[in-house]
Amino acid sequence: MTLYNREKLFNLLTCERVREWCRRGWVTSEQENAIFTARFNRYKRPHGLYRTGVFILTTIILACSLGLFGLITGLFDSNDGYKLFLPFAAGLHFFLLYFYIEKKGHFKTGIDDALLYWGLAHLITFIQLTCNTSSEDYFLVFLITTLPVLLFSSIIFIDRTLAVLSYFGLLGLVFFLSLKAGISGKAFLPFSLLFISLFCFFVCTNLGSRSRLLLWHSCLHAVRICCLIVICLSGNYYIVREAGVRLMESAILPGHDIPFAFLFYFLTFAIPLFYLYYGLKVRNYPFLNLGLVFTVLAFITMWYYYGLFPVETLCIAGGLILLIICRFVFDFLKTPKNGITTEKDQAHPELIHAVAESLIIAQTLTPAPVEKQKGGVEFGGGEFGGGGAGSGY
Amino acid sequence: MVDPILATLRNEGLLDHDSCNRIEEGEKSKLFSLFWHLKSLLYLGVTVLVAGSGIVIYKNIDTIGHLTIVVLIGLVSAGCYYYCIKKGTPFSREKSESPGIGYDYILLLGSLLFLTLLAYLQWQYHVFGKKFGLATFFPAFILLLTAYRFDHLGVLTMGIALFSSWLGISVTPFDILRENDFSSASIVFTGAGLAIFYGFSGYFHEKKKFKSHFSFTFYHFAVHLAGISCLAGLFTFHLWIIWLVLLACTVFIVHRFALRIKSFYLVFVSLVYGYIGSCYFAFQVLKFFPETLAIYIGMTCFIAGSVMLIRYLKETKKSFSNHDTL
Repeated sequence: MTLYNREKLFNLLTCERVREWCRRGWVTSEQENAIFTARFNRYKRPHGLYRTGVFILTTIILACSLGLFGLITGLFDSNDGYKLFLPFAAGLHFFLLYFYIEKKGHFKTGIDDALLYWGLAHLITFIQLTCNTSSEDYFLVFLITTLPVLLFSSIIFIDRTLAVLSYFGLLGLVFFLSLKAGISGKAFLPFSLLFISLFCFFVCTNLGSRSRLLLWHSCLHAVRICCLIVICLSGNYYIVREAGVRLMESAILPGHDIPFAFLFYFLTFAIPLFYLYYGLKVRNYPFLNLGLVFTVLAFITMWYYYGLFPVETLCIAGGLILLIICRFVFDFLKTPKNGITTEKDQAHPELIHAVAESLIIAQTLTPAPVEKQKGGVEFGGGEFGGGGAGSGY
Repeated sequence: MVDPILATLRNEGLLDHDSCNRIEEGEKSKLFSLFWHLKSLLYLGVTVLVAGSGIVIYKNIDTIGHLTIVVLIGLVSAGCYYYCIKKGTPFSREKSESPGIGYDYILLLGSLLFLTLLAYLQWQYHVFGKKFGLATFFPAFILLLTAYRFDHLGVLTMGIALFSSWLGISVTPFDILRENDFSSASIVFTGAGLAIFYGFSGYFHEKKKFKSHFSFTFYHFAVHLAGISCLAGLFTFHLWIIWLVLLACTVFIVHRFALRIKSFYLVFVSLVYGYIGSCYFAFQVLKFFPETLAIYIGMTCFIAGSVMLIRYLKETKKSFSNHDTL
């Protein structure tokens, strides 16, 4: 159920897979060319920068066009006029979206993205202005009315962003329903979010294993990653404690702790370590990447509350441990073991990674610029800071 | 799940039985690379280690003793450089392959500790006296030397950033707009001058085939410094028309160059700066019109300009097709 041409999409996915197989040496260039020729009727996936640029320019065109229309017709002069304008704008956006997808064959070119997002924005704004709700139920009604629209759109237009927004909309719904349930709802909130995310994760995994839903795999994958993140955050001691303080509007007295503190201490470390273990076991990058990030965050969380040693000791010990672990892994995996290697994956291009890495290194490790001396001839002047060691001695 | 793509290609005869088996075997036994994870951990380890060492030194200066600190940092830094000289390849005009990821980060650690050592010597013993500029230029020079000798893109970028900071400009991605006062004429002219210098440096590297893989880094800094300096001049100075002409020339040169090397990134960047400059010019012209008419004309111009730009981007993308480098 999609507005895009399924055959063209399938052919695009086929060509992308074949290109990867060719990079790995599993198919020859001749086979690749033959498949590309046979699959000529396919969408093209544009360059990320191109898509971003076209998205911004389309947004400018839409904003100026509708702005001009509003000025000429005077619809912006009153609330009723604005309410009349919104469905018209939404309808126009969706009509143009249909035109560009069906007739012009656009697929994620930036134009269809802009039309989709701005069309939805106008539609959702119209729905919200039409609903008369009391302020305390506003967010709940907003989510109940918006969620189906987002979910439906993410399916029809195979859009990852809308899929992720739908998931967070669902979490928002759970959140506000928990608030309405009072103290017990608020207290149970971490578990509610954890179980909902687990449920969504398993649903997405199940759906992702179905070949009929191949075209939606990218959306399901994006939602799965978000589920993994929320599962980790729901069990993180810092998040639960600080969010609990704000929601319950009460501070935690010295010597006291949050309810089920021991469980959250356990989950703060157990979930990321499980991700690490599982990621390495089944060779899954999302699990591994999130496991690494949240393991580091888990240590920072514990140090934040129970800082047994000063920050410099943590930095030196942490730095040395990381370097020793890396050294150990390099030595251990000099030859690949259990399908795991420390060599670069040859299937993916290199230059952009190298340039991005060098910019990150320069951003974080280069000292601040030198201030000019007054009346001096030479360039520079002022304090010099050591790389990574602080702003001055 | 049976791979539907592989099944379809097999059924249509586009892939023979052997190829399908090879792909299936390959997918099952595909190696799981920890390359970027280990690189990230190494980078994090080096960063926090150096940061922690700096804090320890700062807090315990009176206890440890200055000479001890100097000797310690110097020894570790020298050790890192010694390791890199022993394990690395000799100097080459071409790209030198790194013996391993650990090597890159030992070099990075050595370079950072060297910067720390120089900073400490300056602070404690005033080795550069009141020549503060030299205190920035000398480490920049050493970093650049290190980058060329050991072929390290990260150290090169640090060296370029430090060299730029010697001239009073911060060129790191998040600081270029925040730390520099582009309303100052000297910063604008320095930025423009640096952009020309980096542009020629990149061209030199490419033309003379001397570490030609460094050229893109120089072009990257050149393009952004040139664009931002021209825009700053355009927004700040009275004779903005001159800066508009300079911006137009810059955009033209960068654009022609980007088309030649088929870099969509540089095409995009040049068009962004050109578009911003064009919008500013349009606003300056519209000031002479009555307000309502200016709004209508302005919006119409924005629409027309955006449509033309989208068409141009589409044509450029088509001409690049599979040959885009970055």
